[in-house]
Amino acid sequence: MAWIEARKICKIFPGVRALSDVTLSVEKGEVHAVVGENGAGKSTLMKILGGLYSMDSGRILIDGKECEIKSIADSLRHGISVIYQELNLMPALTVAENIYISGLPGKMGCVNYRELNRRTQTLIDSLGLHIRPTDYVSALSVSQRQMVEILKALSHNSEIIIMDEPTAALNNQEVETLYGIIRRLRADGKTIIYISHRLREVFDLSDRVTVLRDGEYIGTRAIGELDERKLVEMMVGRDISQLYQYAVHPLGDMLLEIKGLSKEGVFSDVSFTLRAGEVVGMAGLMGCGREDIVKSIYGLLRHDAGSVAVNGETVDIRRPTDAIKQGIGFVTEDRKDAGIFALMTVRENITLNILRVISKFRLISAAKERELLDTYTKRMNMRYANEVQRIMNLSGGNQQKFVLARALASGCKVLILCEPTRGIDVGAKAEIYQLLSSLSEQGYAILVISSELPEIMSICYRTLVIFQGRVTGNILRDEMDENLIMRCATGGATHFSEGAML
Amino acid sequence: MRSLVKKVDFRELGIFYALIVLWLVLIVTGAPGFRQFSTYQSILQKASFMGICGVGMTLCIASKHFDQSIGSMSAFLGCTFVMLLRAFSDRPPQEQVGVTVRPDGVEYMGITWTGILAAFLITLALGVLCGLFNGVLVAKLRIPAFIATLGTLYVLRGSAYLVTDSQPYVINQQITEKQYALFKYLGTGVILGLPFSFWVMILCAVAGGIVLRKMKLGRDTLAIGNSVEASRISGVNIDKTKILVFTLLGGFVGIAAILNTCYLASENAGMLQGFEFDVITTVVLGGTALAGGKGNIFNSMSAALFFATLTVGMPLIGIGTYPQRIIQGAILLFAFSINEIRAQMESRRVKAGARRAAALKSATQP
Repeated sequence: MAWIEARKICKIFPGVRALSDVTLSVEKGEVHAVVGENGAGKSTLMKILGGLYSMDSGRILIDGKECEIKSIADSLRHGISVIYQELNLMPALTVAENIYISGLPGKMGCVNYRELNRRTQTLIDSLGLHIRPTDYVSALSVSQRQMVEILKALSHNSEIIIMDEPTAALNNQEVETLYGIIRRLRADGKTIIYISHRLREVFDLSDRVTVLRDGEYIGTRAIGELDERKLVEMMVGRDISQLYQYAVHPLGDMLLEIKGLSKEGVFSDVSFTLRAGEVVGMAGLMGCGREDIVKSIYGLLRHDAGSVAVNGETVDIRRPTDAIKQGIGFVTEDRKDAGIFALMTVRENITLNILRVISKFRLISAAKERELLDTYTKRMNMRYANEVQRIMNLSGGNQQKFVLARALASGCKVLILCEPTRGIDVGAKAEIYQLLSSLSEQGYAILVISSELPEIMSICYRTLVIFQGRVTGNILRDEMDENLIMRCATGGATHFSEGAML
Repeated sequence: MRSLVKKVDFRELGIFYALIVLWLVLIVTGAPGFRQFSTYQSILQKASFMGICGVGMTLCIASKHFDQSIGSMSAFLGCTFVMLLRAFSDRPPQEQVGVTVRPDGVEYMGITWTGILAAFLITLALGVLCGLFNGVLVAKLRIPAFIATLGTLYVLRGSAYLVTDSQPYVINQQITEKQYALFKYLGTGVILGLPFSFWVMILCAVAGGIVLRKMKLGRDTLAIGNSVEASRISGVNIDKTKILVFTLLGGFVGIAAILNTCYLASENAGMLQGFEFDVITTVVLGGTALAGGKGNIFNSMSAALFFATLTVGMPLIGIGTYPQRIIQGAILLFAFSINEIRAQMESRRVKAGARRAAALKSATQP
C-alpha cells in the first residue's frame, strides 16, 4: 500500500503538454528518485504536489485518502514540503526567521525571539549542523541555504520531503553532507522524493526510482533491478546517438580569442579561443561564473581586465550592439524571460536584432521580414500556425529555434549558447544538436554552456571547465569523461589536454 | 484586400464591435439627442482630444510605462499657449483699456500672424520638452514612471497656475476677426461632416500606427514592453527608446492642448483634472495591457470614441453627474479586468484544444 499516490495526473501549459496521465506511487519511509531528462515533467509534477501548480485532471491520495491540493498551505497540511531548485529563502532575515516565517512564536503580533531561536537550535542540533539560528541567510553558502530549506521542511513536521535537484550547486563534500542528512531522515521514517538527473546519485541514494519522459510515465523499478544502462534507456527511450551523430568538421580560422579576462570577485584570468568549425562546451557548477564570463564577452557585463579579439583583431565590446556588429550571437539560458518576446508575433521575433538592416526609408520591410522567416523556417524546421501567431503559444523547442534564428539572422559567425536545450523535448533537442553540427560544418564557431554533461560529451569537440571563475580544464573529445569533468568543476583537479589550443 | 484580412486578427477588435453595438442601441432606441447631428459632433470632438493623447499613451503603455502627468501637462500647455498669444500682442497687457473695437463689438488687441505661429510652435516644443523631461526621469534617473509622472503632474499643474496667475483667459480678447476665425476653425470647424480636431486625431493615429507597426522605434517599444533583458541582448537602446516614447507623448499632448484651447476659446489652470485617467482608461479598454508588450492604436481610438459616447450620452439620457462618475469608475475597472478575463479564456481555450488532441490521441491508440 503506497503512502502517497498520484494517479493519472495531467497538466497542460499553453503550447506544451507537461504531464499526461502520470502516476507516482511512493512507500512510506523510502527514498524515491524521480528521474527524466529536462522537460520530462519532473519539476511540474513536484510543483503540483507542492501546491504551486494545479493539475488539470488526476487524483492524489495520501495514506489511501483522497486529498485536494490547491495551495502551498494545503500541501503543507497534508505533510508535504518541497525544496525547490531555486531556493526560496529571504536573505535579509535570519535562519530562525526563515524557518518559522509562516508561524512565528509570540503573542499579539510580537515575536518571542528567545523561543524562536530555541526551537531553531533544537532543529539544527537534530541534524548536527554548524549554523546558528541568528545567522543571516545572506551570509550562508548555497549548501547551507539548502540545509535551512530542509530544516524548514522539518519544522512543519512534514512526513514527505521533496527535493528538486538539490545537488545542482553543491561540490563533492557538500553532496556527501547532504547524503548523510537524507539517510538520517530516512532512518527517522521520513519519506523522501528525490529529483535528479545525475544517475550516480540515484544509485547511491534511492530505494526505488520512477522514470518520466516527455511528460509521460515510463515506469517504476526497485533500484536493485536496474543498472545505469537500463535506466538511461528508460529515460531516453531511444538512444540519443541514434537521433544525433557527432561528426568531426575541419577546423578553420581563429574566430574568437579571449585573453586574461577578469572581473573582480567573479572570474579571473580567463583565456580561451574558438575556431571556425568548432563546438566547444563550457562546464561548471552553478555559480562558477560561466554565465558572467560569456555575458562580459557579449557586452552585457563590464570586465575589469583582459581583451577580446574577433578574427584576430582586438575589439572593444561595450554593449550587445557592438557584439552583434562584430558577428557574435548570444542565446540566453532564460528563454522565457530574456529570450523570446512573448507577446510579439513569430515574424517580429526573428528580426529584432536587424531592424535597421531590413528597413528602407526607416520603414521596416514586411517582405524582407517574411523572406527571413521563410528562410529560417525551412532551415530549422519551425512549426507554427501563421506568421502573426504569438510566439508564447509555441512549444519550448520551437521558441528556442526562433531565439537561435534571431541570433543567426544578425549574421554572426560566433555563437554563444547558454543551456540551449533546457526545457525542450527530446525530438527538438536532437534537431538543435543537428543544427549546431551543420552550423559548425558551415564554419561557425560555437560555445555551448551546459549543465548536462551528457549533452556536452555528445556534441562538443572540446570542453572548457570553469571552477570559481577560473579555467581548470580544457579537455578534448577523446579524453572527455564525466568524472574528469566533475573533478575539474569542483576544484579537485585540472586537466589541459595536450595538443588542444586553449 | 485578402492580405489585409489575413493580417487583421478580428478577435482583437472587441472594443470596436462594442462601439458599433453601443451606437446602434442608442440610435435604434432613439435615445434623446442621438438623432441630432450636433451630438455626434461633440462626441467626436471629445474623443479626438482623448484619442490624440491616446496615440502617445498607447506607445507609452506598450513599453510597460505610463504617464499620469498628461492632464496637468495639457493644462499647462494650454495656459502657456494663451499667455504666449498675449505676450506676442502689439501692446503690453496693462494697456488693455485702449483696445480696438471689432465690428462685432468685441474688443481686441492686435497680434501678428508671426506671433500666432510662434505661439503654436513654442507650445508644441514645450510639450515635447515636458515629455523629454519625463523620459529622462524614467530612463536615466531610473525613477519608476508612476512616481516620476506623479511628480511632474504636480510641477506642471503648479506651473499652469503660475503662468496664468490663476486667472482664466479668453482667446477672443486678443485677436483680429480673421485670426479669431482661424482659432474658431481649429476648435470647432468641420470638414466633410467631421470636426477638424477629429481629422487631426486620424492623422495622429495613422502616424502613431506607422511608428508602432512599421518603424524600429515601435518594435523596440514593444520589445522592451515584453522583456527588457531580451531587448538588451538584441541590442535595443533601451534608454533612448523610453525617452523617445515619453517625448512623442509630450508632442501629442501639445497638439491636443492647442486644439482643446481653441475649442473652448478659453483656458484656465484648473482644467482637465483627471484627464490622464480618461486617456489611460481608453487605452486599456482598447486592449493594451498595462503589463506592456502589445498595443493597438486603432483599438485605442475606438475606445476613445466609446468613452466619449458615454460621457456625452449619459447626461442626454438623464443620468446625473454623480451616477456618471460611478459608471466611469465601473468602466475603468472593467477595462482593467477584461485583459485578465481574456487571458484566462484564452488559456482555457488552448488547454481545451490540447485536451481534445490528447483525447483523440488516446482514442486512436490501441
